[in-house]
Amino acid sequence: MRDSAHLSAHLSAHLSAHPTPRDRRGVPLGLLASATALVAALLALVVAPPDALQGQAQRLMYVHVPSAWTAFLAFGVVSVTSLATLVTDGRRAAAVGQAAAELGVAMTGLTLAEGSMWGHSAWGAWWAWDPRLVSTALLFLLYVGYLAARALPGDPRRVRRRAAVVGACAFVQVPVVHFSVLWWRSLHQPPTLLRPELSAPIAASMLVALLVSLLAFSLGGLWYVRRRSAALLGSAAGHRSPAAEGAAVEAPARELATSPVRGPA
Amino acid sequence: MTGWVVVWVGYGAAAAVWVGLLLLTRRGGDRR
Repeated sequence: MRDSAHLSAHLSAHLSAHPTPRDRRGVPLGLLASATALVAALLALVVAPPDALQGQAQRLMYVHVPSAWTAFLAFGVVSVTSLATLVTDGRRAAAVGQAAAELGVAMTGLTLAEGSMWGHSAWGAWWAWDPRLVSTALLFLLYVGYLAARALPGDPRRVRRRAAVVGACAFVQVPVVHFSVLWWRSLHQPPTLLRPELSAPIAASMLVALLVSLLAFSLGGLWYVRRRSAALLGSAAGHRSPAAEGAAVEAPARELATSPVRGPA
Repeated sequence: MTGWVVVWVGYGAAAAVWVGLLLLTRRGGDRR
């Protein structure tokens, strides 16, 4: 009986690691994100004009800004799910937080890479010890630390809670990055869209390309977090997917009933 | 790197990151 319960749990975990009808739920959102990305690329690479001073290289803005924006959104999700994990100790909140942190780290890495290329083109330097650049690199490292805390061995509940403390505290760095160009003297330009004046100093065709790129990245990020957190929850069941959960719950009861040591007298 | 070269490298890097994320969604792992 016990073996069959284990076999059932193993099979369910194995099946959940492969595409199932349930996995297709994210397809419409994925297609919408891809279509938006295609339109964004056309607007950014064909419709929008090159910058008067920086030329074609300025088109990196349509990837650099949306990746930074998506990273900020993702880290916002990590902070909320971290607080939720500390309050409710939910496995689901922790999985969503981990997926969002992975997205945020990938997007921050992309922001740094794009910024480095743009910096080389505009400033003549791949890197500068500048407040915006250094604070962004620190942001990247903080969330790599969160992911490392999530991957530590030990009691799953304690691992979730420890990582949640890191996730909740790390968000402090996000406003530091955003305001770094206003608080300190920086090579980096000040914000184009999220300015106190609320008027973007940018040509209309460039603004539209940037807004559609922001939408494409945001939709892609939402798609990733939904799909990845579902995969994480499915595999954590690894030992407890919805189907296997029943088997796992039944197993101890059967064991109790048949065990001469722990069974009722 | 200047002009269109830097643009294509930048867009290629972005595409590579998104493909990496797509591949990550197909993987579970021992997570808690």
